[in-house]
Amino acid sequence: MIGGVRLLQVMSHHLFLLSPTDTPLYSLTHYSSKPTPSTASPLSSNLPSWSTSAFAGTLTALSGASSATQAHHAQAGTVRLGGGQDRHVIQMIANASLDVIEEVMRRDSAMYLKSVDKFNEWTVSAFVTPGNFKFILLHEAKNDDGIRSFFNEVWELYVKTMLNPFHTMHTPIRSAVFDSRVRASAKKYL
Amino acid sequence: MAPLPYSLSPHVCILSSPDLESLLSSVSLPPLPQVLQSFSPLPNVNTRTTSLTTVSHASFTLRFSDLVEVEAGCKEDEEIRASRILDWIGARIAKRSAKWIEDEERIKTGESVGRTPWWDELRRCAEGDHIPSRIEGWNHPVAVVLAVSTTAPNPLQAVTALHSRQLELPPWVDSNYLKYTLIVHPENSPLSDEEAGALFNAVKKQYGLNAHLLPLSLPSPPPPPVPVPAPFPRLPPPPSPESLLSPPPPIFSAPPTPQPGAMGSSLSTQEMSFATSLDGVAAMREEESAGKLVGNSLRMHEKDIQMMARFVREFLLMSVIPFMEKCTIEWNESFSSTRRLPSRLFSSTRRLFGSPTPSSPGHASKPSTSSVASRTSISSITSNANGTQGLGPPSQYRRLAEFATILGDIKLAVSVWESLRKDGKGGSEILPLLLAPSPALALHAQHALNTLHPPSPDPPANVQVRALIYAVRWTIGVNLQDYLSSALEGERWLVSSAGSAEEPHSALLLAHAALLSAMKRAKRRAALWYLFAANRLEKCGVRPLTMYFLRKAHSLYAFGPEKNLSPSLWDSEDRSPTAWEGFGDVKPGIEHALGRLLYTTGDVEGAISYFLGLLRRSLTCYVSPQPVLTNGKAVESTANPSATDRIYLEDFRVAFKHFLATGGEESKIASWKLPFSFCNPRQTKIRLPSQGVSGQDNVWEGRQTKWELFQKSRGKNRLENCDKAAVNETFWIDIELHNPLDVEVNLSDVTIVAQEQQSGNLESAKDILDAEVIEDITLAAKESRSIPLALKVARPASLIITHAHYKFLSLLPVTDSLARRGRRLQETMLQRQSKIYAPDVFVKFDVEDASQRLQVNFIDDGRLVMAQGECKRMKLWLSNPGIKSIRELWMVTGDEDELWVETSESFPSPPVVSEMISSSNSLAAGEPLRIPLDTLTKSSSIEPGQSVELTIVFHAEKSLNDELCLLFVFRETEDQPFYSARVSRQYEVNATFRAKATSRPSQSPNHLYLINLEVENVSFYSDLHLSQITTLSPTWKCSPVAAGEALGPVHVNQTAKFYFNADRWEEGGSEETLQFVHKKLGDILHSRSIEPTSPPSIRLLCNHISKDQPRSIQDPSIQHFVHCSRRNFVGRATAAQHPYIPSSSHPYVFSLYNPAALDVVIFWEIPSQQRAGHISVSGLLLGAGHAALKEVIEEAENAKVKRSMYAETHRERQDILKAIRASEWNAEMNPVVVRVEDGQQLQHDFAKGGCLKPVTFVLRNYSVTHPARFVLRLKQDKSAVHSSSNLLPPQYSGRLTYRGRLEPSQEVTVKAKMWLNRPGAYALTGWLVETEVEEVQSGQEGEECLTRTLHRYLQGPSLADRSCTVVTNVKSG
Repeated sequence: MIGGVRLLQVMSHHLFLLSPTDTPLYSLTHYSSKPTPSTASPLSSNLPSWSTSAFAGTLTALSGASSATQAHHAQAGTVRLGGGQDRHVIQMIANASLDVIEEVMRRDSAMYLKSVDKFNEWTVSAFVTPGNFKFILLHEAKNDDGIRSFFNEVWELYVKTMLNPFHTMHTPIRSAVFDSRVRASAKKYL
Repeated sequence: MAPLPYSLSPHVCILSSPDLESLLSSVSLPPLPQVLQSFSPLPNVNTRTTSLTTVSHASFTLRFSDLVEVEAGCKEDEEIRASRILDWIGARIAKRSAKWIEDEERIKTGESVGRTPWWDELRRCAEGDHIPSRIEGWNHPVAVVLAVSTTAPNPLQAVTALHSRQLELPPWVDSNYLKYTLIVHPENSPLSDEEAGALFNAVKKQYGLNAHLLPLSLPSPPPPPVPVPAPFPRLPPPPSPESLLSPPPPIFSAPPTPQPGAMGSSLSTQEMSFATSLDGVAAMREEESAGKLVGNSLRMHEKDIQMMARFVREFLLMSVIPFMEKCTIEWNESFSSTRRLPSRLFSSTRRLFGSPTPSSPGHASKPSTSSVASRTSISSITSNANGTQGLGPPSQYRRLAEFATILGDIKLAVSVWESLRKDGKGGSEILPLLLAPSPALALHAQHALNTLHPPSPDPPANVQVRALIYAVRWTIGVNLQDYLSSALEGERWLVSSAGSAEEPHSALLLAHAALLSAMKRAKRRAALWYLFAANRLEKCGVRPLTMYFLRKAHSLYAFGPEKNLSPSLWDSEDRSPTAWEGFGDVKPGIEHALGRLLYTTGDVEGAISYFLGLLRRSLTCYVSPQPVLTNGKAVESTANPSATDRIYLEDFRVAFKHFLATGGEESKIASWKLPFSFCNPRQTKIRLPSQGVSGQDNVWEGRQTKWELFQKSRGKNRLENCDKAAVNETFWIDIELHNPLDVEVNLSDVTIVAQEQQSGNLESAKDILDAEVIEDITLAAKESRSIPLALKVARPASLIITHAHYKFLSLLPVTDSLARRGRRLQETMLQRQSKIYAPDVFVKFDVEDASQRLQVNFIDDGRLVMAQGECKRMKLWLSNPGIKSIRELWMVTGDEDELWVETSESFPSPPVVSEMISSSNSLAAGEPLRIPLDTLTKSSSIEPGQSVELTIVFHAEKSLNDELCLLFVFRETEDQPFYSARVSRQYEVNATFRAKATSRPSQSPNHLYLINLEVENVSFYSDLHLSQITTLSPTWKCSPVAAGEALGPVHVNQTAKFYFNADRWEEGGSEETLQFVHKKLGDILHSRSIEPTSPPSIRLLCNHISKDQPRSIQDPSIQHFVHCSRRNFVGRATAAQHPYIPSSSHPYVFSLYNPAALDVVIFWEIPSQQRAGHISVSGLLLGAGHAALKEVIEEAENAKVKRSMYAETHRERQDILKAIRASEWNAEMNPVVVRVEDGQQLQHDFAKGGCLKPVTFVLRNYSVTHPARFVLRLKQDKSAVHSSSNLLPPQYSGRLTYRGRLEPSQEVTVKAKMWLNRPGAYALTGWLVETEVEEVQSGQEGEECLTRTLHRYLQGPSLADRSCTVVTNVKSG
């Protein structure tokens, strides 16, 4: 029995807010450590959680697939920035996804464009505001509804920030309030 | 449809006899397969489909290979072989990459044609694989050619030997092939032609019709070489144990340098079109290798070539194609018969009965030429058809599909492939080549890759090779336009094929995907893929290509997106459309990798340029908040900007040190520029010793303006700027250095560069300017610091400071410009439409000879703490360091500063109680003060080198912290310009007394007013003594009620009170003053211009009270201070009350003393500290006024209102009117004061009844100008007494109304009677006085004066009036 162990999997998310001229205005790296059930067998998921939690380490070590995940994601103390990538690669991926986003935008008039592209382990979800501002989220796991809600909240926060008359289209967002609220929203949905 | 890839062509294996091999080598020809390969592809070949339709192929490719080689290859483990292939490809790429890049940089091709040499190389390596695979049947031989020559001792035996040789192919290789016999008959053969013909006939008889006699001339000295297509590179055989010891022999199949230009004919037509555009490259490369056309040429005679070509064509048309067509037809029959059953039913049946493996005996049959005929019965499906684990030959259907594909029977091929795919037996990889482009093809491709192996980080080599081969086939077999279309997105197939393997081939796949993306204008994605490719290639150590890919990624990223945005967006946002910054970390990330690669490849200079550019990063960094874990722990990552800055800086330092150590060129160093500047030119300024004094700039400017205004009236001698340095005098320049980096840096040898203003030469000031050089400065991260540099100039000059010079990190010499951008010009339309700036502004300074100079210092320059009102003596030290004497010296002070220059003259003060002083009565601020030099020095001048001492007395009445700023203006003679010097000193004033003076009408009939003065000690000085009190007024005379007994010490928080009687004193110029002010205010109200005339002087009466000898107020210093403090008081009050009258015209409108004013000067001293001073109390006005400006104001109000466009103007006029109406000059009040004699105590025997008692009312007219009529009415009702009062209401009797007239200052007594009927306290209220103020208009002489009523007033007792008469009952008798 190797399933049923609730792994504390660290997922990283990268959010970018871009102006209509694709100038980055804000970026956020968010790590969520949501307990995601590993490939669970239906039998073990019925077991009370205490029955496995005490041996979680041993059990996951025994299971091939999950131990790989374990080793990959939670190396003692250090958390990877995402796929062992440098920051510039993450930004490059976000930038590259703009090609597809623009293409999808031509076809689709929706604001939430769902997953538009995939680069290695990264799925890129995008949200385009009516003012042509683009929100790009790089994520690893599928979480359509959460991301939709997250984007909607960020949009609302963003609109509030834009109400500031001194805020132009290219002003980077340095508001601590905005930052903390986006973080809170990310914590809630991602 | 694009032609099929090379690897999807019939594979023909050749087994040649040893005699043939030796024959070929003797005439310098390569082995037979290679010779034959040179004749492929063949043009214009027709095939037939199963429906007997003819398909014509423009070119038909055949692949020839050595059977022995194939046999050996099949024996090798597939996985080992695959990994060998990968290593081999990697090695080939690594070996050639440097040359490719060199060529690529010389001739920029590839980009436009979508082909690069490395991609060609990879493709040819992948296509060249000829060893049969278990997965697919393409490399399985279609035909085996047994070749002998007639030079053999016994040719027939040789043929028999070859035929009898068992093929050593493994069982999983398809054994269904065509056997063919080839007899080569050279001219020098021992057999004659007839013999050869006989041999051929014998062979035909024995081994079937599939045979050919090939007569060749093969001349012994080989003819000149004929160029032929280069063969595809093939993996060299595995090194045998013995060959490991000796160097491997050269292998024909893998020529060391493939010549892309010569491979045209072996390429598909699609490639041919590309090849033509590569002609330029090819031509050049041919030139390079001229004369050594060895690898791809045949030394064959023309006739032999024709014979050979005829053979190959005959072989194909007469044998191979018919064989394949026959197979296809047979297999198709069995295929279509099974197809009639729905495959769904079929598979479910199989599932139900569990018999999935019908036997397939056909493939076990012996290979022979007749095998085709015996194959008619072959049917059904082989179990391990998909062959991934296959031990048997590939399934018949698969072979059918392959043959149909080769023969161009697309319809059949597609249907078979589709059915194979549905059964999960492959086919997805070929379908994209055959089907019309649609999004389904992308799914086929993805499926083909997925079935190879589930995605994993490290797939086995075999899978990687397969994926590579698929990807290569797709790129060749699909039309490029379709391949790049959005339906297919072929470049993504390449990326999927590359997977996550970190091998050169996967990097090249990514790079090709990037190239195709860039062609599709998806440049951002292309940049990313180039970056991925570079990352993988770097790990394999292929540096030239890595750098090329990084550069590509960099240039594609830097390109910036093309946007369909409104052109006016850029204007509205004030940005340039080309100034796109993008993501902050991308460029540095790429550049850093490039820099490091350059450094490791020895290009230190290139590396340094990149590292220098990287330091710009902090400036463009937009937002990089620290990533935070949800549990709140910060994550250490490279995102920390200071960490990356430190890395970049360290790399730069190391590279630069290496550059210096290896003796780099000096000229290179000069070309490197820091991407940012440390200097902030806006904060750069010259600091001269004369400007070293504190004080705000506007204060000093005010002093200078004051001097200039003063000087304007006197002459034209200008004031020279004092911002000139003197020759050989040290002065300073303050440079602000700002470190924009997130890391500590040091700068060394910091100095400045200046040039002479007229000269264009940068070095012109080098000889005369001695600038300080600061050896080393360390700036912390983001620190700003102002650095003073000492300067000294050797001769008079005008200099411009142009640059700052320093060494960054003590290594790189940097020159920063100190120019500031000029202001933005907005004068003309053009300037307003675009941004145009005035020329750059530099720091300039003049150096002159030290002719006229003055240094002024306070002798005691400690902190100055004064008591409020203290007269502080201060000594100034004036010295002349110049070379000319100073004969004229002026001191310019602030308008409110109270300063007195003390001279040796002493003023004898006569002991008087009362004295008279004259005042200019002007509000004008004090003029600059000329210092009497004759009293200071004997020669009445300050000679060069001489110093004099000047004593000034400073008096300050406001308690505050401030700075005393004195500007000294001096010159030598009348005809010379003035120079200035400055001195300043901080001071602090502590409060001493809080004094308050109030007045009220006097109760005493002898005096008009009673003045009450309260003086409270609010200081912390315990022994503060009041020494004298002086009153000053133009019209009032004061006498103390009690003579000075309250004078003396006043302790902390104690209050001393003084009373004075004030009486009218007629003298002075009060009438003229009033007329002056009234006229000027009238001018203002009528908007007339104000003449700059001063008010007439006025005389003031001073009365002193003092315990000892009173100090005379005529002492000039005291008179000066009193004047100043009065001026400050009136000036401030006037400015507050009349904000709309400009303060500069106040002296010409208002006078210093209102004639009704009464000022008090309080002299104090602290005997223990020998300190003394005085404070003034102003603001008291005595006497009644009668709205002197009433008529003027009414006139102004009723005047025809000029229409003004602006509401503000109208409002301002209203405000002026209001202010003047409320001002002291328009005071208006009831001049008649009623006094009731209060406090009488009467006795009466009420037993005798009531009595009448007198009540005295005294009415006095306080007006000194106007008479007044009055009516005194006495009321009898009870309402006369306020309800809260417990006094009895008065009952007046007898005459109740009194009328009269009061002349100015006249007093009248009215005696009324009150009826008392019982004892008690009777209030003395219940009266009412009506007053009419009259104005006497002097009529003609002898006529009666006309009077006119100006104002009417009504007054009664106040509510608080408690005056009463007490009557007690006394029994008489």
